[in-house]
Amino acid sequence: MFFLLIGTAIGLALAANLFRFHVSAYLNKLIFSVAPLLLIEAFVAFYGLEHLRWMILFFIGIAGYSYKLKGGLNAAGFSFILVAVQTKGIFLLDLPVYLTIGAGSGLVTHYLIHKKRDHHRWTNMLMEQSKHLQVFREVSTTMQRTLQQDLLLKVILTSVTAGHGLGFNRAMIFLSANGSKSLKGVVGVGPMDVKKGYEVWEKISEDKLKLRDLIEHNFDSNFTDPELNDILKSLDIPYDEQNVFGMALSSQKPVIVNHIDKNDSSQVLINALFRTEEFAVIPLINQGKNIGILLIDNIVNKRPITLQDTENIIPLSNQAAIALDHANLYEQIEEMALRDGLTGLLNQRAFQTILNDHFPFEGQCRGPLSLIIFDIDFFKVFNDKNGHLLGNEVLMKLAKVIVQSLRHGDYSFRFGGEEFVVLLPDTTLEQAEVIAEIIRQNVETASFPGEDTQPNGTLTVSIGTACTSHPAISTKNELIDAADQALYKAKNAGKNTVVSFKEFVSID
Amino acid sequence: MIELTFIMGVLIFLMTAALTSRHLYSFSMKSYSRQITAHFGFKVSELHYSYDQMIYFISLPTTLPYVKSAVKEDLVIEQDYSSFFYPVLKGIRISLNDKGQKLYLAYLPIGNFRLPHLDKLQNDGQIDEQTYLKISISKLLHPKTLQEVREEVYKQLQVGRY
Repeated sequence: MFFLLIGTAIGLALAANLFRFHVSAYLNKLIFSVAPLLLIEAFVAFYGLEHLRWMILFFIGIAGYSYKLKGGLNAAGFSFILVAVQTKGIFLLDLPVYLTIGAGSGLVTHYLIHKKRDHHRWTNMLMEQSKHLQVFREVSTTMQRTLQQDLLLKVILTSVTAGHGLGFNRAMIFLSANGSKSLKGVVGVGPMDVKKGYEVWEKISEDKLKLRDLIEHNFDSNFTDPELNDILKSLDIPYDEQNVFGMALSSQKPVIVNHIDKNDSSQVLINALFRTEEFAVIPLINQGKNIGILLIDNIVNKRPITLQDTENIIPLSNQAAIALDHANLYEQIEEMALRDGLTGLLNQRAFQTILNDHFPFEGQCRGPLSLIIFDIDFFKVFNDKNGHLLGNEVLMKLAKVIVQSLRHGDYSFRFGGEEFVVLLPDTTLEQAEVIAEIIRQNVETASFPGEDTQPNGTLTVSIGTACTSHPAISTKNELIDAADQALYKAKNAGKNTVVSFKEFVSID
Repeated sequence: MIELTFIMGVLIFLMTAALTSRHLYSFSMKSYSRQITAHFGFKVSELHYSYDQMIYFISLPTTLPYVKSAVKEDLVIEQDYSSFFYPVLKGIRISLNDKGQKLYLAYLPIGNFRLPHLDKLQNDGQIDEQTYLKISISKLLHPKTLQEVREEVYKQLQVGRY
């Protein structure tokens, strides 16, 4: 009989577990509460009714555990009636005991659940903080490794949108334009609509793409709607105290836009272009300098952006602002190191680098590289008569004329003094001669200060050209020498003329 | 004697219920998921997922020598349930046993285990949050998923995210 009852206990527990997880939470609890009652009835069937009064406490305890105070009290009342019906006698003193057990088990369970929820809430909060700390730590480390603005932007956007990061559906960066109160759209990550968002999300999960892959492919059309970046790059939004961008920058705090304010043209523009009803603007500020703004929204899952969200993004945006500012300063310094301070043209150092990059070394499938070298005719005389300050003005004006005479992809350099060089990648000697002649004519027709003191009454240049397609030219120095000899020939030929290295060879 | 038998019966009832509840809960999740996914014409095994929202408790990649030198098999994956009698999967814990000391490395809350196809169905109003949760539990508890999670954590510890 003992083993039969133990078997019944096991069978009832298994049967209850087998069914209760397939039904609703309420029925689950009901099944688990009724099973002990059936076990008690089995014992009653074997041992008689005299033990029912105390055995029923097990049912009351389980009911209190399952349904808390209300369940415990109901079970106590039900048990009192059940005992009375089955034993055909009323034991009034049992009722307070049943109620105490029912209420006790219910209250203890309630207390324990409450404590557990508290613990769970704390754990969640700490995990959330741990996650943000982890994101911040990883992003900071990554940012410290580079001064390339492009890579920095990708890291910032990925950390804001990736699941491991802050998990926003879309993020866009606008940077301050130097010297003007406007923000230029630079780059964004995220879909233009919900459908595209789910497609990208599915593809990322399907391909099990890692963050490194995402950073590499972020701006690939497979992962980012090119339409978003096309629109973004065309934007140059002025900001003032009245619009949302200006408000975020002047208050140095994030601004959440829940409803589009029709009086703010920038909000209306963002709403119209990016189909977003709710977004947040996070200022990127370093030491009081406006670097730009980060615009975030949840276009796909429509999750509202909370103050907590923006609070979490601030450490990241501050770090991003410092990194972007440093990268920008580094770029400026790098640019200054490669440019001539007076004319703004590239300098000797840049010439060596670019010549090296474009020179068609043997075995490389590169087009011919042409070089134009020229200097101002009678410039010593000009300086003697007009002074060096006016001479500098002429050099500045000449630089502008040179730049206007060139094609996209051509490089112009100030070689030293009044000597200038132009590098023409993928250009034959014949094409170089045409460009050289354009430069000569433009200089001759342009108006320069003090040019009336020149022997011919106008400022002119003598030009020599050479090209790597010539069989005698196989090194960089030979190219420069050839153009230099052609220039020398042009000087000797009466100045204000173009002489190419080919002509020099044919004359000899 | 009757009292002792009853107490034994109660204890065995409770132990049986506690010991089988998680397995049968998991079974019910699988069974429910099978029904729902069959209705929508796909299988749970075909669902793509993201464990990108896994929360790590140490730096990635790690600089801790005993974590760095750990092999994949040293990582322990534990399922985190809310209770014995009314189990609900809260997430999975990944830890490392170092000379008897358990070092927690990462935690993936079930709410952070996202499946894009289910996101889409939920957004379209075809399934509710509860159904999403049951299918995602079924997917997360699949041995293949747990193995992939182990490999992912191991990779992150060795090479980091970026």
